[in-house]
Amino acid sequence: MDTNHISKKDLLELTGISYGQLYRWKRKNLIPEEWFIRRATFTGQETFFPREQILARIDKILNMKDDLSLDELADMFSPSMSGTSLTADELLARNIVSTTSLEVFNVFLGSLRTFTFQQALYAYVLEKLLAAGDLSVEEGGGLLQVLASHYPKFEGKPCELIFMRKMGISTFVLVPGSTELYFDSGVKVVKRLDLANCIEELKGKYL
Amino acid sequence: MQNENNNKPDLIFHGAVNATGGVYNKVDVQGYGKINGNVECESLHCAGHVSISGDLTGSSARVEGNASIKGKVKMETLSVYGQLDVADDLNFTSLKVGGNVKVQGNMAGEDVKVLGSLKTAGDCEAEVFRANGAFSIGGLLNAGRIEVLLHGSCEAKEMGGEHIEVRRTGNSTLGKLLKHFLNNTLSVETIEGDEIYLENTKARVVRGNKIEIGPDCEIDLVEYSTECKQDPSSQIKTLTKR
Repeated sequence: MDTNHISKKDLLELTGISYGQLYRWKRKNLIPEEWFIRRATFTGQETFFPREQILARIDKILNMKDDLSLDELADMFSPSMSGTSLTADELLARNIVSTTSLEVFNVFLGSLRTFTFQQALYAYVLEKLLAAGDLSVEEGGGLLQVLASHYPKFEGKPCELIFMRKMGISTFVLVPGSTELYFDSGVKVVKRLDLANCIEELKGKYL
Repeated sequence: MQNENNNKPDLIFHGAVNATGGVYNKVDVQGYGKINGNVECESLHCAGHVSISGDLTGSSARVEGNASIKGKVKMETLSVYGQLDVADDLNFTSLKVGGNVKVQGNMAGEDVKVLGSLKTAGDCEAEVFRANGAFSIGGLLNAGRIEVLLHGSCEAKEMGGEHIEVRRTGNSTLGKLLKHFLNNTLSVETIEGDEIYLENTKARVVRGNKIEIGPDCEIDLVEYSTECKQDPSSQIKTLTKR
């Protein structure tokens, strides 16, 4: 059996959760439908999960379910935007952005007093890439432009941001979740970011 | 709210009518109605025959005649005493199937009560699923509480939930007589849950914490973690504690 997947039985044994809990979480959309992978085995059909993703998710659910209701958790894991907005000072106070990336944001998208969740997400993605040293301040404009003009079209569906360079020229692409892409050999993919994960992280900081 | 409703027109069919979709307050079909497009309404009542070529959304619907919807259906309370065919997904808060419901996609909601017959090609998700009739679920039946009282043959590909209970109907004389004609069993590939009680069930795998296999079951593999009881009239090929 490949090591990237874990069977339902092993998962329950490893995490100590019951069948009932797993099915309840599936119903409440805490575990996405795409993670339930059916495969034929010698005992018939079995369900497998992507190992790292499901273990991380169950760990999070178990850690947070005392503080949050299942519906609140589902809201946090869903890639759709929540309606809350924060001020620039609150974004700084919650370590969502640094002053540097806030300045970059202000240059390209204008100075905002309050940020919608979506705008906060753009700022957060910018912060992530700047902080990791993947992105230069000038390239921030391209990033923000692609996010602001194209991300809303995904309407909360899973989507990935790909940041690549060829001969020093940077490009940003937004693609629907888990698409395979092939580039010519001169292209260096600097970073692939799953925006659903970013939303989840950001929602974690909002709470 | 009341005012808002008053601004929406009613759509009432007497006789054979073709109409276009739209936002209505009340849709009432007494004759034969064909609606082109999506319909959004407060309430839908169908005593005749209605076919909608798009999606149907609203807060309550009662189908006493025949309704066929080519798109998705989203209704808070939905009761069907006649026949309802949905070509896509069905979403609801509470669903009562007194007649016949067929869903080509998945169905999800809070509360399902089956007294007639329910058939879905995809999954069925609910908090409480009570059946006192027949059902056939092509995918996974996933509910917090599943209570089945067997009438006729019931089948599902998989069943999963916290509490699963399958019982045959009482030992009435009529029931005994009809037993020879009706095949009152549940056939399912896999049943997984925390507490499971089964009667008259054919399954390949049953997994859970606390399992009780009542009379007349045929199960290939039972896996339990805390306790398992078995009625002598049932066959279990392999029984393992994990």
